[in-house]
Amino acid sequence: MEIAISTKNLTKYYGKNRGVIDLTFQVYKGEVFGFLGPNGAGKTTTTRLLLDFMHPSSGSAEIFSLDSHQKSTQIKEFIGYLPGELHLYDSMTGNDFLAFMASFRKGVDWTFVFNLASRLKADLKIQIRKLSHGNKQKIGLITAFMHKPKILILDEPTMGLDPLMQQEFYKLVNEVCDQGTTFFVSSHNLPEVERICDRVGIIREGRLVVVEDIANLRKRALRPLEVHFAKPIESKDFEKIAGVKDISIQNSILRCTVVGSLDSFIKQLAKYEVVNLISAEPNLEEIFLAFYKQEEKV
Amino acid sequence: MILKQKAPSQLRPFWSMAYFSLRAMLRNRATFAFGFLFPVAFIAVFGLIGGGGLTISIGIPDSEQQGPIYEALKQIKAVKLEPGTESSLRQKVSQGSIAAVLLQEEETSVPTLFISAASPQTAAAAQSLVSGIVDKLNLAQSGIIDPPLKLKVEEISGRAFRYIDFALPGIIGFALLGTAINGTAFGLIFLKKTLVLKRIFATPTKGLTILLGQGGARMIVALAQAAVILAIGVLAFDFQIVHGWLTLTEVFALTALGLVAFLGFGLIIAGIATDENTVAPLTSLIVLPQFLIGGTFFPIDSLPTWIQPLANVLPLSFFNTAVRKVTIEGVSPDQILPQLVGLAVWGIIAYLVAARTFRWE
Repeated sequence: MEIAISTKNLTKYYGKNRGVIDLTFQVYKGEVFGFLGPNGAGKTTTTRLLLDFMHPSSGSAEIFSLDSHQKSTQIKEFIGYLPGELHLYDSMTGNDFLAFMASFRKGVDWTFVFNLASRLKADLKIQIRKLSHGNKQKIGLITAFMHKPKILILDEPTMGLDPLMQQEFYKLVNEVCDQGTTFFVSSHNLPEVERICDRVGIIREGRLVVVEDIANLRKRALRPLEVHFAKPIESKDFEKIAGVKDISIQNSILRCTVVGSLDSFIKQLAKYEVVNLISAEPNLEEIFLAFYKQEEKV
Repeated sequence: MILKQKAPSQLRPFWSMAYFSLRAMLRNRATFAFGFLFPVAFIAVFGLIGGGGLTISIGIPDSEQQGPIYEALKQIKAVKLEPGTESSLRQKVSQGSIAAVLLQEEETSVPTLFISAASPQTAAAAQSLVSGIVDKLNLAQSGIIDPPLKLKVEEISGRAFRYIDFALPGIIGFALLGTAINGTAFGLIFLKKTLVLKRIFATPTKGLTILLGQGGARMIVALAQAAVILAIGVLAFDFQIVHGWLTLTEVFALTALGLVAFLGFGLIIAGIATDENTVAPLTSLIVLPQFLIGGTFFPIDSLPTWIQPLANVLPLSFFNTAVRKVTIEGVSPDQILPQLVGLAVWGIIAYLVAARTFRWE
């Protein structure tokens, strides 16, 4: 698989303060890579290093095999960027602002831009200062997508968008991704990351804790289950099954969480008369939070 | 995937930056006021006060405005005859607002000239004028038609220098320094503060391109200011440009050079200032002394001697002197070499300091 973004021992110190330490990871072409971590973990620092807004203290980053610092001008031709703290020219209209941003680069396809605007229901004729936060965000998104970049670096992309627009945005990400575009999405929003990302990297205290497929994480996800039996049962019948945790029994109702595959658990259930089985989507949030909080245990 | 290894052309972002920066400047009221409105007002004021030359006001009471002395004085261009009552005229003399009062109740009585101690130079001129007339009348009354000693007066043709000829180059300097320093410092601080700069840096645009674009826009404004000031000066106030188009070209070239040097100071301020509030005092610190003692509105020669050596080496002084030399004296470019070197040295110092202090964030 072709590598779109690659960092090698990427390190940034602000004086003596930690920015990020020793980041080494790859993002493959055409994937949606989620970059997760609590506030101050180093997400923004990483983004800024990739975009050459500042230089690494040591280590390096490459984008399509071009050094992010030495070749930054070339790289920016095919990068689209949505900053977390979005600032636009308040006195301009959306149209003016897009024309302003487009004038700094080539390859802006205006048919595509207007199409995007109508999909996201962005009003480009209104002065930006009169727009709500979510509507400003739409203009920020269009600016990031407008030149059909090969790599999109997005910081909290759906912040302020209403649920309908979020769905439209997810659809857009899927479509653009299918055309081979690579996404690097830094986010707090765990359901969103679950929804759109192929892989995630979790950063904590400036260090990369894990880089993992969403599918693999899901295998490790905790699935809460509730089983209603026809007759009261005993907990020891389920305690020995691998991956089954937190068992509690109230008469004929069993509550537990299952990690990974349900297969052995279901086979055990089959030995009893089951009245009802209530399950929920495995929740990655707890896994993420577990990674976030690991420091105490380390 | 094969990606272009060549760095993308900076021409497009340069024009964008220049265009949007120019647009922003033209929409800014301060740019318009300091760059165009004030200079035009200055020209109007200096052009009008420069017109009169020396006038000597001599008061003659209303009742006594007759007789040969009065008639002779009326013929002299430089003399302004002030009407009024005797007491009001005497008061004006003691204040120095008129040079003298001439009293002669009847044609036969002895004329008396009261001269003003408050305005000694014009008083002396008034005295010699009136005594000249009286001498002439005495000669005529004595019957001497052909006096033995006669003064022969010949006029040598030449240009009458007026205050506008001195002031106009200074006005160009005033507008130029304002545009270069205020404009740049505020423009860049605004870009930094609004964080739109970050959006531009996410495009294939180099930092240097942004600075060049900003500089390019200021160049256009500075040349336009010089053009407007010169046009009004030449058309409305007959400002002298010795060699016509050649002189104009020289002034524009000097304006361009001056702008490049002064932009460096704007960059220094944009580098050390944290926001608009710190920009204002810093620009005043650099700009105001140069307006006052840089030969902008008053000649450096008229300043106290101890300050003149300092005043002479200010960046704006070099510019003002160079422009005056080409407009008033019509000298060739090699004769303003000291000023050109002076400007260049200031420019180099400014950019060296700016390179150390300027930060994009």
